[in-house]
Amino acid sequence: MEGRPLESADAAWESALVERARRGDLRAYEDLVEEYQTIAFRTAYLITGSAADAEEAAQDAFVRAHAALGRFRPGAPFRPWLLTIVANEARNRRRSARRRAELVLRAAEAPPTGAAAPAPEAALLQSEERRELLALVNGLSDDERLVIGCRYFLGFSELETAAVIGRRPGTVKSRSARALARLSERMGGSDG
Amino acid sequence: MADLEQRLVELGSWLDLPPAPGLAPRVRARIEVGERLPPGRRLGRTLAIALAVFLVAVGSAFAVPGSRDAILGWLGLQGATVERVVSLPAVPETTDLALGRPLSLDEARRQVGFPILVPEALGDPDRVYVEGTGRTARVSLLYEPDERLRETHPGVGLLLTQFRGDLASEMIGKLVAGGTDAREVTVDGGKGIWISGPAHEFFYRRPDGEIAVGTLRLAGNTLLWEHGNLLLRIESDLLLDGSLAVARSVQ
Repeated sequence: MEGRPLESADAAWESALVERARRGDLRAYEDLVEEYQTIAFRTAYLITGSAADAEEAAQDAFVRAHAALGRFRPGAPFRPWLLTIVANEARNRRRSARRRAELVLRAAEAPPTGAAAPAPEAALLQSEERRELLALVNGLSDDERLVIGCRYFLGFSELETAAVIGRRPGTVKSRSARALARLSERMGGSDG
Repeated sequence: MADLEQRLVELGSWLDLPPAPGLAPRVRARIEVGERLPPGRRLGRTLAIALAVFLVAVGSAFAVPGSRDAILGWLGLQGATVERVVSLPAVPETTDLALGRPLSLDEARRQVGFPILVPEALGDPDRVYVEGTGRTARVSLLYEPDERLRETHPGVGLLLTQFRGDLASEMIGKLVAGGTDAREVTVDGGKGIWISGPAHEFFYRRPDGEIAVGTLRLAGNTLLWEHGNLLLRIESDLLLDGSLAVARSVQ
């Protein structure tokens, strides 16, 4: 699961892998890639809006991160460090493509994994609500949308979100509050 | 608001995110063949290497030609034309750093024709200035003095300047007064120069070959380094290690 705080055992496992990778163990680094390729790819996708660009950005980011392992501070959390590199790669691609990423809602007939299938009437309403909400999110500025995407869609912590947007955690907090207020306002207060 | 947050989380689970590809084999293969991405490769596949030319003067005459030649050689500038100066130009006393127009970081990003890099170690700058526009713009990120950054100029703790350095279009020179230590450093694989000591002044070689004396910035220590096709410069009271830590954290 992405976004959850690392349990101490996971943290120790991650630390050990990073340390082995730093010492040149490529197999250990491969394990790290496998562990984090999904969040790396999704982060890049949120920024670029293109699966092909996201894949390239994530792949380049892992190659770049490997070369930079010598500068990684032992014991520091690996995810935010990696996410900084991923986001940077993705942003550079988006800039060169001059494209704005658009998020696409999953087909309503495919409920999220593990969710109970809603009644048909309810599903329709929910589907419309989701589309409306997503349209509002897509209507936010790039910066606000990215913060919302990281915090709520990818479940990142403030620290991890800060790494993605390249700002202090305090900026994540204020930008997130601003985006939520804007969404709430555009929903016409119907949200309650 | 909590309800909205909950709905956003739920919305996230319905997003049509493409499946993540398996990256490990390709990444491993690229590492095994020793691929090293240049810093900021995506800023432009055809990297123009920024050049730095340093004229080092001690007192009224050059006293370290060997160092200068070594630096030029190391920068791949052997054979470049270098003007020698007998004495430093008068350094104007000014409180105005003439950094350009103040903008928000977002606005600066819109106006500048290259990605603006911000050092993660310092976070967002307190002020941003832009001189010029587009690809030839010069961006200055100003950090006010705090417990880490001693004041080197009224209201200034650290100044990070960045601009496109281009092999064909721009060279930069730096005059350094006596008592100066200049040494080669590496920042993320990019070449750099560390200069500490008394005040110094910059000048630029423009595309037409003309040398323009730049505006005096700060009288602190200077780290200048290449990052992709950008040339970055940190001026502050930080020592080499501190400056390198800031430089290595730019994103």
